[in-house]
Amino acid sequence: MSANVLLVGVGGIGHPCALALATREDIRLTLLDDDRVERTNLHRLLAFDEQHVGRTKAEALADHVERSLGARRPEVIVDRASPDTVADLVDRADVVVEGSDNFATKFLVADACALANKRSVHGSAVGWTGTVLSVVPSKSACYRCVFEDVPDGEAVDCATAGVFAAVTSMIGAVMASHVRWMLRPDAEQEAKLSHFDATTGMFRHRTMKRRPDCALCREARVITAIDASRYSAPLCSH
Amino acid sequence: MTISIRIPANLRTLTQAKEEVTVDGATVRAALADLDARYPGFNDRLLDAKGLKRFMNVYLGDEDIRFLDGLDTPVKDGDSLTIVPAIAGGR
Repeated sequence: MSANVLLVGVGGIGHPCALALATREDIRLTLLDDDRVERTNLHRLLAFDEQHVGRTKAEALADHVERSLGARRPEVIVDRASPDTVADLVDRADVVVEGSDNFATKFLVADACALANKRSVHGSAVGWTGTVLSVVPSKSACYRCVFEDVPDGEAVDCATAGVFAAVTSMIGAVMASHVRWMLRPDAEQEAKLSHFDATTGMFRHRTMKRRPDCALCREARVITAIDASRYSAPLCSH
Repeated sequence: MTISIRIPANLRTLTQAKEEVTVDGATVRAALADLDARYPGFNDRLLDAKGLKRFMNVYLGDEDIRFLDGLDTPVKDGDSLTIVPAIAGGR
């Protein structure tokens, strides 16, 4: 029986993650992204070349998986996660892989996964560093246990820093390995945070604890539904 | 009390690109204060009126200081702190 894996964002980190999972017969992929391939993206979208510029990333990647890898074509949704759509999107998945490039989407997807009791893998890559966090709802620390709430504009994001292409590939590959771990029936019920620093070539892995006063996953939680006002930062592209 | 602090790549502009620096202090708060004294700018990046900014994580060894005594967590000679900020990116 196949597991349904939803990738929210198939850009620099979602793209290599999808490639790493695409040929697994035990996984059915859904690619969610409305962004289009730009010439400046090509060095980190490894399956693409000049011919793909202008196409939607999700459609072009699904074509590559089917035609070049000979694997089952992923389902494609040319859209982005929004407060109106996220619950339905998450509901169909066994594991959600969130590789978006902005905090609003990260918290939106994290909240939706927790509310729907879905396992999730969250990845980010900025500059020379990247992180991957895996979450088993109700069992392990959630995304808000670790990062609490949408930053107020001072944090590092897509608008303030570039990214070294090797970091996006590395983080995408690690996300794929976290997905494989998540799908194991004997997977440990602990959140794992992997942090990669390309300036040293070092990974650090930490088991994350649940925050006693977490607004999302503990008894005193205040987040019990998706409320668009919580995700006030602009939902820029994946 | 010599404490080492690992600096995330995006904050190394404050440390002249040093990945790791040493500071003095008997608590995390004191160590971070000494960090800011030696490399000005860290207070603004790490702290707000409530303490550690919500998207900043500081680890003593492998322990998140939020699960210890927060900024008042004692540190001892040779301890290592790591700063891990929330990041978003990967387009």
